[in-house]
Amino acid sequence: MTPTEGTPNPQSVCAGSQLQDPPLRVGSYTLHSRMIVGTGKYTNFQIMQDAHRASAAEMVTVALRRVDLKNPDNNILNHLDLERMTLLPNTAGCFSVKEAMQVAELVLELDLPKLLKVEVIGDEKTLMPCPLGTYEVTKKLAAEGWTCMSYCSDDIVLCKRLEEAGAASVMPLGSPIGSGRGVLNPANIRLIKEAAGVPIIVDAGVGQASDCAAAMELGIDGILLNTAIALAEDPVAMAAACREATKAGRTSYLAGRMEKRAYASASSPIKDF
Amino acid sequence: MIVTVNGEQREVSATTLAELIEELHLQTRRCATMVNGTVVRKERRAEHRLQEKDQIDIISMVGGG
Repeated sequence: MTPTEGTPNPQSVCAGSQLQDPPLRVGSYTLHSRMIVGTGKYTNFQIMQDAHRASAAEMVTVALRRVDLKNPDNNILNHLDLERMTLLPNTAGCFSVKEAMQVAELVLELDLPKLLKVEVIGDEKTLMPCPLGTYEVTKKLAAEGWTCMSYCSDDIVLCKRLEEAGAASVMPLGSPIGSGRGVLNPANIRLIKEAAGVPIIVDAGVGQASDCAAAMELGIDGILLNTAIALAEDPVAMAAACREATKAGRTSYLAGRMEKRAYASASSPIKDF
Repeated sequence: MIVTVNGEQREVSATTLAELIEELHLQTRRCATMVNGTVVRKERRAEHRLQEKDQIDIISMVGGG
């Protein structure tokens, strides 16, 4: 970083402000970016790698699947900057507690730490998460010492229960996976954040950069997005835009917005004209 | 013997899971293994003998969100 683009104090949100923003902590993990990115749906690994760099994200999701035996050298690990980014394996595609628990077992076999995005799908068409399955898996794995980042619907009671079950982070959806419709129920997300004692990370639903800003302005701790970047016409540019919007939304939240008013309030003096 | 590896039937000369991994040139690849739906740990692969018609899954990381 050159002096011209750096901030005088790395903890300060901007030059001239006393506001400080500590890094995001999930369990024992410290993230200097509040954005977590994915690795799915990219046209090729080069674009993914460039988008990851532009995102400045320090955590990246991966899925577990069968090795392509016709093309075994097609290994995603060769295209991830693991010096900078922590791998967050997910249980995507699991429809039952048993399947998700098996993925956890496989994660350990892949020499990865006990860190998992818990995702148990309850409905094939909407890909809405199953609250019961997600709760059960979170409770079991947390008891075994796992850092669970649990993906769930935007229900405040469920989010509280997942925290009680031992989730290190609760990740309510903004809108259905891959739908790109933004945060459809900001009031719920705000209530979830207010009640939470662990980081709240909105996962799924971001369609464009402004969605990141709007979500962060609700006071949440972070955002997880994949499709918005991967399926943008220019994924690298969208990754950069989402990075800036996430930061802008966070700073805007910390800055404290003005109160809304029913009537106009002149910005220029109305006397002595 | 004939086994199913990652959903495809194959004739293999390997008699253990470890040998199968070598036969498929995956020994340097970070991967997890399951036989007939049960995870077989890395340290058990050499002693795990394959049976005719075993369903073997070799799992690794892929793109996902």
